[in-house]
Amino acid sequence: MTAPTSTADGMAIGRRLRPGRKLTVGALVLVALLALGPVSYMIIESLRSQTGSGWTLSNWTGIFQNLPILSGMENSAILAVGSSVLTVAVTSIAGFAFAKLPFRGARIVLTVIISTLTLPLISAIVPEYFDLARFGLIGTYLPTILVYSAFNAAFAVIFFTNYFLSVPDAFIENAITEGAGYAKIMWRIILPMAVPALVTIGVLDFLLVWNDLLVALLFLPQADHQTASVLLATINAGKRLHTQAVLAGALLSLVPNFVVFLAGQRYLLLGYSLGVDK
Amino acid sequence: MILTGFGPGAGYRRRARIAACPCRSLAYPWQQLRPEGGAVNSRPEQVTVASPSMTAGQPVALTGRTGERRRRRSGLVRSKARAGLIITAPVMVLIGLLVLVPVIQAIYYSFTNWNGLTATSVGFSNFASSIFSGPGVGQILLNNLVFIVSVPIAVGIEYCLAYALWTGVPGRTALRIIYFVPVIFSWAIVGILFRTMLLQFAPDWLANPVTSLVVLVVAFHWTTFGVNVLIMFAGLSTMDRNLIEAASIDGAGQVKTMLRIVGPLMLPFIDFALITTLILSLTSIFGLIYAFNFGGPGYGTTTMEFNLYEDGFTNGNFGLAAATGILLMVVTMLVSLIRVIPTVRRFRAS
Repeated sequence: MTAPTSTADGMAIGRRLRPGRKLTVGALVLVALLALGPVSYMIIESLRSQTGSGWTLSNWTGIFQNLPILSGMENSAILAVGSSVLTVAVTSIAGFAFAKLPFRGARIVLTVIISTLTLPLISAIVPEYFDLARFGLIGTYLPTILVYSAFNAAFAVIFFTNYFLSVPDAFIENAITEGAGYAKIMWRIILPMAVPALVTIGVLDFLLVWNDLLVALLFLPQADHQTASVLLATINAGKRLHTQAVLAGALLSLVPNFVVFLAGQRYLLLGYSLGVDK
Repeated sequence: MILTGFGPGAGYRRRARIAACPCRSLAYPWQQLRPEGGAVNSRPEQVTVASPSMTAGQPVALTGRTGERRRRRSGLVRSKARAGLIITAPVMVLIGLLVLVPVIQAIYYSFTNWNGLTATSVGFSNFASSIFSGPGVGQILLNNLVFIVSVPIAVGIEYCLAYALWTGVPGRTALRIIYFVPVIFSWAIVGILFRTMLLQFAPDWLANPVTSLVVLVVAFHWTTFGVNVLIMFAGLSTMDRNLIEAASIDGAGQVKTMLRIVGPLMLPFIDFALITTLILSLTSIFGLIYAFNFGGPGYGTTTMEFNLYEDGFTNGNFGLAAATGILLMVVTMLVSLIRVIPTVRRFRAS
C-alpha cells in the first residue's frame, strides 16, 4: 500500500488503517441499522392494516377522525412559536448588551444567568404550578409560553453573548460616531449579521417546546388545549386506538422535527455543541 | 418587537445635555430614536419629584444634583450602561420570576409537609423519605444508578464511533446523517415507539421490571447517541490529521492512537457529552418514562425525576416532590460545576 499523498484526505487515512477497517465499517453500518430500525418499523407499521396483513392508508386517514391530532398540533405550534419568538426577542438584545453595553453589575447578572443553566425545570415544577394556579393561570397559553422561555433563556443569553462578543467593537463605535442610535445599530447592523444565530436559537427553542410533555401535561390540562405530545402520550395505545393509528399520529407530530432536520441540521449541531470550550 | 426595549429610555434625554457633551454624536445615541423627545424633563419620575419644588420657585435639589453628577460622568460609557440595563431587564425579570423564585420556593417547601394548600414544617424528613424510606425508594435509586452507569459506557462507544467516522470510511456523510435521525424524536414519541415494539415482539418484557428497565435505557441511548457522535466528530474535525500519521510512524497501533494520543485532546468534548447525557438522564426524560410505561411495572422504570411527578401530582405530597427536586438540582449542579466553572471563567476573562 502506497502512502497517501494528502493527509487532509480522510479516505487516504482510512486506506492506511486497513487491518481493522472491515470490522470498523461493519460496526458503523450495524449502528446505522440500529438507528434506522425503529424508525422504519414505525413507518411500515403505520401503513399496515389493523386487522391482518396487507397495506393501507386508513391509519393515516383515520387518525384525523379518531384523535384531535390537528388541534393538538395547533396547540403545540402556538406554544412553540410563541416561546421561540419571545426567547429570541428577549435574549438576543440581552446578549448584545452583555457583550457590548456593559453596565454596573452586568457580570454578576450574567454569572447568575449562567448558573441558572444548571437548574432543571423538574426541580421548580411544583412551585411553578402553584404560582400559576394561585392566579388562575393554569390552562392558559401565555404563562405556559413564559415558563418555557424562562427555562430556555439562560442558554440563549449565553449563546448570544458569545456571538456578539465575536463582533468587533469597532463596528459599533464607528456606527455611533456616524450618528446612529443603538436601536438603529441593533436593527440595521447587528441583527442582520446575527440572522444565523437568531434562527438557531429560534429553531432550538421551537423544538424543545414542541417536544415537551411535562409542562404541557400539567399546565394545559383541558382537552381543547392539549398538545400533540400530550394527546399521543395519554391515549392508552391499543385500547382506544389501534397501535398502527397511534404510530401514524406520532409520525405526523414529528413533521416539524423532520423539516428542521432536513433544513438545518447544522443549526442543531451548532446549538448542541456550543457549550464545548474550544 | 425588539425595538420596544429601546422605547422607554428614548424620550428621556435632554437636548441640552447632549450639547454639553464633548463628543456630541457619541453622547446619547438614543436621541436618534425620537428626535422630538428632546423636551426638557419629559421623564415622568423626575416631573413628579420636581414639580412641588418647582412651583415654589426653588432650584430642584434632587434633580439638580443628579443632573450635575450625570453631566460629569456622562458620555459613551454611561449611555451604554443605561442602554445595557434597559435591554437586559426583560430577561432578568423572566429568569428571576419564573426560574429563581420557584427554585427558592421549592427549597422552602422541601422542608414542609405541603398538600398544595397548607404547609407545615417537617425538617429534613422529606429528604430522608426521598432517598431512604419512601415507597420503592431502593428500586428508584437503583434505576437512577443504572442510568448513571450506562452513560460512560455509551459515551465510550460513541467516541469510538466518532473516531471511526473521522478516520474515514466510505459513505461517512450518509452515516452521520443516519445517526442523527433518532435525535429528532421527542421523548414522548420514543416512549410510545419502544412500548409499541415491546408489545408486538416481546409483551412479557413490558411486564418484567428488569427487561423494561433495560429497554428504557436502550431507548434513552438510542435517542442521544447521534448528538454525542456528532459533537465528538466535530471535535475531531478540529484536530490535525498529521497527528495520527505521526503516531503510526512512531509505531502506535490504532487503538493506542485513539485512546492515548487523540483521546486526551478530545477530553473537553468527551466531558461535554458525558455531562449533558448524565444530566439529561437524571432530569429530563419524564416524557420517555411516562409514555413508555408510567414508570412501571411497579417502580420498575421509575427514576427520581418521574417519582417527583408521582409524589406531587398523583399523590398530592408536594413537599416530598419539592425535596426530590432539590436533591436532583444539587446533583445536577455538582455534575455541571465541572463545566460551568470554565464557562464563567471565560466570561470573567473576556
